Amino acid sequence: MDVSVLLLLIPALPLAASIICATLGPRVLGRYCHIPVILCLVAAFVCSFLLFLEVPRTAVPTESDRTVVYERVVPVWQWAVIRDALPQALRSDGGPVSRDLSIEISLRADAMTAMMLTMVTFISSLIAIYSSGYMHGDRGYWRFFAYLSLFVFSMTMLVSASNFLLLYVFWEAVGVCSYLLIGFWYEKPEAAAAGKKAFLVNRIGDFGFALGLFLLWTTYGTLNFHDTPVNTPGSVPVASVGADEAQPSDGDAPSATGTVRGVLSPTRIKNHDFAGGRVGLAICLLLMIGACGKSAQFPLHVWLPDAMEGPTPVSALIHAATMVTAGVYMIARCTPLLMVSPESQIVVACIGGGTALLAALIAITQYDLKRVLAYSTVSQLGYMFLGLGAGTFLGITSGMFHLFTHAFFKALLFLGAGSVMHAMGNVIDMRRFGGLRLRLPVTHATFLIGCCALAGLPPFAGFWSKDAVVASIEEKVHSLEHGEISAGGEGPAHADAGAGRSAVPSTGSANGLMANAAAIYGILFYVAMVTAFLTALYTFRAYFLTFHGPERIPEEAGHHAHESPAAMCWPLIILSIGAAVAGFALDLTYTRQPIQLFAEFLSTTPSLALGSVVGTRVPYAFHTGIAGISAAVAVAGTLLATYLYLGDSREVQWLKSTFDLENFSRWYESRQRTNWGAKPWVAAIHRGASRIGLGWLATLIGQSLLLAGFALASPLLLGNFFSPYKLSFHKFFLDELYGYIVVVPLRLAAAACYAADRWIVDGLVNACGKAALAFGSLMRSLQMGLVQFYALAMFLGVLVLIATKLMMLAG
Amino acid sequence: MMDMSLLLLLTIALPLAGCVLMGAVSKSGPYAARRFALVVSLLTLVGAAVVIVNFPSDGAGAERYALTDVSWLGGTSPFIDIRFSLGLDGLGLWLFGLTTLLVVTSVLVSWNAIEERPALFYGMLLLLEFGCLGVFCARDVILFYVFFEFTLIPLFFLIGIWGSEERRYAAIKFFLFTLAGSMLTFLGLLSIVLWDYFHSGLGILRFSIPELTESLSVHPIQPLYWQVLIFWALFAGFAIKVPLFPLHTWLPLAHVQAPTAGSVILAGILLKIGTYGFLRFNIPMLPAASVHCVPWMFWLSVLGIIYGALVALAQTDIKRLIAYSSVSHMGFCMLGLFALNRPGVQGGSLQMINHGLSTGALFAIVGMLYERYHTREIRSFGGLARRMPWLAFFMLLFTFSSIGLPGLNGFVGEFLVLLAGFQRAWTGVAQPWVFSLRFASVLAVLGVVLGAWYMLWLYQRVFFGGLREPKVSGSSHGHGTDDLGWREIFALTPLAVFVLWIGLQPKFFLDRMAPTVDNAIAASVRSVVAGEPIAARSEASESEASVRVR
Repeated sequence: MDVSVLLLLIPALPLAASIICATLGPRVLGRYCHIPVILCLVAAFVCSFLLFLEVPRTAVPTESDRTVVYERVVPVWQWAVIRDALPQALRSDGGPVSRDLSIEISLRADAMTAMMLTMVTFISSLIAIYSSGYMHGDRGYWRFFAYLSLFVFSMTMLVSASNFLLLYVFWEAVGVCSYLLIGFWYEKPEAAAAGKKAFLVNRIGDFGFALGLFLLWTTYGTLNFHDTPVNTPGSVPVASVGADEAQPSDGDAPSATGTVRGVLSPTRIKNHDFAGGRVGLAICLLLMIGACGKSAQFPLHVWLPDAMEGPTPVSALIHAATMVTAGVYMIARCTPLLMVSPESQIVVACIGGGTALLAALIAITQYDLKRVLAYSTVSQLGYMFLGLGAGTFLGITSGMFHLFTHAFFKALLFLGAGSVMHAMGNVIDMRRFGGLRLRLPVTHATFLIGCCALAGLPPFAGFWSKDAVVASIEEKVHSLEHGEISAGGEGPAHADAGAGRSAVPSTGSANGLMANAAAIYGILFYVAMVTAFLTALYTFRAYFLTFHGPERIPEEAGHHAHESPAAMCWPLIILSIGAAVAGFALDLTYTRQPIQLFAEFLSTTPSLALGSVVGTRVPYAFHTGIAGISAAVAVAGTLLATYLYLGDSREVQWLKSTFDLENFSRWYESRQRTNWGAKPWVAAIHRGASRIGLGWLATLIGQSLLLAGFALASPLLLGNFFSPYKLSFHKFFLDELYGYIVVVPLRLAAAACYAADRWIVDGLVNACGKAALAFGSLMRSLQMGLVQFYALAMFLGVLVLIATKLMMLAG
Repeated sequence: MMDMSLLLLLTIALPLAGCVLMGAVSKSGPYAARRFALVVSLLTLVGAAVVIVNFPSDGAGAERYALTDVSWLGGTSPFIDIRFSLGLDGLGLWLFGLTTLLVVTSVLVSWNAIEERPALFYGMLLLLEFGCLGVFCARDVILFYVFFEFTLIPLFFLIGIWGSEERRYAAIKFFLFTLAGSMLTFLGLLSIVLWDYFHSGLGILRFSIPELTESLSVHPIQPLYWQVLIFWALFAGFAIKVPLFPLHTWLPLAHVQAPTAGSVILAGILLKIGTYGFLRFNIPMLPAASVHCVPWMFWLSVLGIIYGALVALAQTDIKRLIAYSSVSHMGFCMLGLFALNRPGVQGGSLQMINHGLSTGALFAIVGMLYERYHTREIRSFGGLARRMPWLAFFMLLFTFSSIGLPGLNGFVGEFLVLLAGFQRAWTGVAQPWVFSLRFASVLAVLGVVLGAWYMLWLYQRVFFGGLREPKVSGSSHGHGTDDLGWREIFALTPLAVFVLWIGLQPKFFLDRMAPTVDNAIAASVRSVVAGEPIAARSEASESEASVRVR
């Protein structure tokens, strides 16, 4: 089938399913609502897979150089055109250019899109099947499937968007689906609040994204990824055509004439025609804010754990496997923009690494199984950003590779958790159940595979991709130290595509951030390692708490705590196969001819095939040392978890009390406190002092001593309230912090504004009115029925006045 | 094919005729008035639809479309030329259509709510429609002003007679507030006419808007301070209508006290007369002053956006919350218009329609809730989504539309407006204002976040969570707390259709108004804010005018 048909069918099928569910669902389909959805999603998966096969087959090398690029755009309809919207695009070197704001709904396929589409439709098909079992008998069955397929539609559109506006549109659309699905059980106040919170935090991210988009528009004069022909010769001045002609077009870009060059188009990337400097950095950072919102990175990660209030299949699909990776996808897509401002890459890497560590630290102490998984998602997304932040070919492909494998094992783990919830009567607190391995054999086995993949134990999927990320950081450090990659990000000399002129202005590579780049990446390497250890620890903690130990079943489960139905087990099994083999099947660097199949597939994406990123491409190699270290770290974490959580919990209790600084508490507990006033010698001194009239002095000294004691003890008190354990358990108090620095002040501001509105603004208006009233005594005795007469009279009077004036003027 | 100018006249006159006949018709039965009003408003809608469908799809030649232009007052006099000139161009096109649409909705939402003197009520409603239609079609200053003032009277009665407890205070405040402003506006318009009289050399006092616009582009009002003075005079009336930030206090009061239909029309159409006035008079006739005042207008708009959103956040009454959200949303319209570039003014014009659709619908929904529970306190509601799924669905749709969700209409307008504001601040501002305007344009984007906050919070409190509903005290119509009936669904569906249509294919709407709208700002589109006045600048200096960021 033709690529354009495939590309259209992939989003169209889920949309059709959604419409069918929404219209026929409540009355006609009833409890068979899942059937059209599953059929459409599977069909969409088949289409995606065909596209996936088609891309490498049709990608051919260009004649002039040997770069292999694949890009295909399928226009659907014109959304809006505003002629001559921007008088002058800043990034047009050839003088003033008038640009149309032309927004087209068109789909665009390249390798990255094909990969994302295949992953999204595959996971969502499985989750739709799973949901038919999980949601069975729910009142909102049709609603669930309508939302679900609407989400898949939005997500497929998001990854095949051909311009930034469309990306933004579906970026928000997946957010709405997420809002609707988190609040699916809207009668639960927590679910409704979580949905709102997710939407608002995402809106804050979108705020950055929107600003980035505007800055892209004023800088490049277009929002399209790809080149678009100037189709209205009449309205666009010749200058705009001339501007592109003015570029020394190096023969291989004949299409550049008479076109508006897209922001991420091959010709632009090839010519390194990007805005650097402060504008370039600002664009990247603003886009990164958007990515932080959607992909739950610090400081905007707070919505994701709360989003677990939604049905578990939703958590698996939206809040683990697909939607939250949209930020990673966007940043990977914008690689050429990031390449010109290395500072932004460092920021991306730091946010990624920092979030990975922070979330892992929090995950260790959580008792809610889904929340452990949610924080691990945040942490793993951090890994992906870490890879992207390396800013090398290996780094970006490994970030995407981790995205790919993560989708399998995290969906698997969430569905496993859902299966546990299903059996436990919707109880998810790990303290209330345990030892379920015999009750739920399939869930147990598949969950174990998922845990191994997440913990990064070889040879499961997570090991390979995480290893690739860590290796890319190591390589970055190495190259920075040895100066192989110029820190400024200029078109590298040995890149064949970069042979053209480099329009990249040298960014402030002398500033502190860049000077310390090697050190920063070096720290991030260790952060990644520590996080890997923590990951293994919390993963297996959750595993052992849930499936091992004495069998405990909460009373909500009743007497029917049993394995889930086949519709739920089969997706688990299929995903567990993926989680087991997706790593070593695609990462063939350990073979005699090392090749990273996944990276090789992605390499035809224009963003990765051209431009300065090519210069960072090094031959594939299996990093034995790093693989060894990360495997050892993962095994160590796993063993520690086994030691602590398998068997009795004495050590855990000891660790917990140590990290909770419980020993401190006796310093301020009331039964430990001495009642000084009752001590005879204190009383004696006080009495003595009173006799000579200095009782007040004694009291003063006593009180001062008490205050000094408090001051001395305050670190201890603080330590007790903010002990490492409590920090982790209360998620570093970030929710509370946001409450006090954002929500409360805004509410106060709102109340203040309202008060000001009533008393000051309106008061002034009324004062003016009163003054006017005092002026005309006519108004004072006015009755209701007279006002309109008065107004009419006034109006007519003015008319008469004008007429007179006019006559006078004329005469 | 029917003559469009005749049809336009008929469409405008139809509500007036309906109003006149209402007295006679209403005698034939208790429900005759509302049925008759529905028929009249539907016929008007059909008429408007035909006129709009025949409008040139690329907007070309719109200035002469459906034009009726005859001498009216002072026709025989050699020096006064007041014309009866009505036509439909890109500025008024969609507002005209929106008016006819919202009046149908208003009639339907008043169906059971109005028991007291229904004939008078529907008569006033039709009279109001007549006034609004006239405003959007008038091509003569006097005719415009007559319609402009005329809209006050029926609304004054609608609020004053059928409103809630404080209706008299609200009606008087609304009336005097707007009247006071429009007096100054009239002075401003008069000065423009006089300037034209003294500088055109024709010796005729012309009142025709197209002629004045053209004349002023040849003989711009100079010096600049005089132009700015006239700008602020016009501003007084229009800004109160919009309402812009410090002049908005009549609005929440009027909305809360008005009957549902009054609120729908007030928010949906009457506020647009203010923005329409800016677009029709201030910007094309006083381009240099408009450019000069951009920083002021920017900040007033942005303050309105943020302030309206914050105050909305503090509300406990659903209707007052939506009223304050109007202040915020109209700030977006004004921001777009005074970005003075094409995306902005097109986006701002579209945002007027969007706001009319979504806020009109939201007020209608609040009216439906009030009709069922006789309260609008947010606190007394909870979990209504289960009780009334259709109501919840429509509310969610229009909430999403209001917070600018992509795929729905609000997004298109807000996106264009914010983009334009950003573009203005980043590419067309002279040095002293650069930082200030950039800050303002970023702040405006923050308004979208706040907008989502108060609307979703409202939705969460009223429709989600456990069921909590106020005790219904003796429902007189016996439909108690049922979900929406067919009549109510029929009232909201057309609005929902347009919400989706504009969201998915804004090109259809933008293309028709683009040429006229672009012409309105042609004189100021490439100028640099707070730079030298336009008249002093030559064509050649335009290209270097924009401030480069790099």
